[in-house]
Amino acid sequence: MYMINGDYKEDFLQHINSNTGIIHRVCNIYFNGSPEREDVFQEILYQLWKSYPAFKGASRFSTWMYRIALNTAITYIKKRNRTPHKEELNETYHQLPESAGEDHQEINMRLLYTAIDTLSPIDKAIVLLYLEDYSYEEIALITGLTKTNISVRLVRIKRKLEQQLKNSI
Amino acid sequence: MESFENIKKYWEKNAGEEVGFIPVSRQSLEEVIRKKISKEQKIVIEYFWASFVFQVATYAFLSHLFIKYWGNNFIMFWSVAGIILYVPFTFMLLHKIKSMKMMTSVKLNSPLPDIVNNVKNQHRVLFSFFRFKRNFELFLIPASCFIFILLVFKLYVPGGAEANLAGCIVSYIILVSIFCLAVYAENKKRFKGPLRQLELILEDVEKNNG
Repeated sequence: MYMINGDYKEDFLQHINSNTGIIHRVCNIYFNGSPEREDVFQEILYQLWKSYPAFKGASRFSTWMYRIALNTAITYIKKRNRTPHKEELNETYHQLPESAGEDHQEINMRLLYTAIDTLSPIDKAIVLLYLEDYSYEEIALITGLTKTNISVRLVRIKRKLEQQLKNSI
Repeated sequence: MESFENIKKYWEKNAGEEVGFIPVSRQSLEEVIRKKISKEQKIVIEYFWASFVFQVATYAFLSHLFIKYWGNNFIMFWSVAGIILYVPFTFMLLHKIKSMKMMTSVKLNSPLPDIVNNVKNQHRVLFSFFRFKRNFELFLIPASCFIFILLVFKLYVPGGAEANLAGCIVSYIILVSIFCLAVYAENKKRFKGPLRQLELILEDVEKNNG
């Protein structure tokens, strides 16, 4: 186990809190606006806690965290009885409440998450890792797809997201 | 945000700021661990009640009949037949439940699976359990209902099954239908729905690999 100080729980919390955005982003990508979001957040935290003794520091902590967080989120999807998200961004965009305090940046982020929500679970993982600046090689290692496949998928994902966002503005 | 490179720049600038991330405290971590352990145990207990206890009750009922009607060859034979019918399935069911449970626990010395392999493994284990359960039910439901109806008519209806063939058949059909409805609802919730979600992911992987 990779430890930076003696206290196991304290070490874990220190690592997690330096990378807590990863869990939030995975939850936002897969369960944006869903009542299950909080439960998935806790499930990811629990799975990280259970897997922590096996973390040897061979890869970056954030890479290890993404691997567990994405696997947990995708596993959670199977418990849902509805089919994957297929709604059009335009409809969702027009349903977004325009709260007085909400600024442009927040609306754009929500639009972006809603656009990503129309992708398949695997494509969501790929785009998230790409946006987080992971190389094709690292994305391939985390997802289990080939580098060529990642590159082909990314071209299609980029085109789809650009089109979705262009239509919504 | 028209071009994807603009989206990426926008993400790098804003993704870390969109939610005021609250650090995980020691207390909230302990609360999550406690809650999740209790949830895991609840799932195991649910499986236990749903499958194992039903079988134990069946063993108890048939053993009771076997002892109470000692000397009555008909009842003794069918009680033993019922017990023999259930024994291999009880062992296999417990073995399969154990492997299902192990799927959710972390193996300390094995490397973390990638997403595609993780989905494949989950589908394999869940499908294998579902196939076993479906075959088990296809054989066991009609057979155990037959034995149950035969024993109930012998014990509580004058003349037994031979003298009340029509009633016996109607009761059998009703009992099998009740079992089938319960099993259908359970399979849909616990197996067919989750398997379909995993298959959709695997179909997406296969389709885009070609």
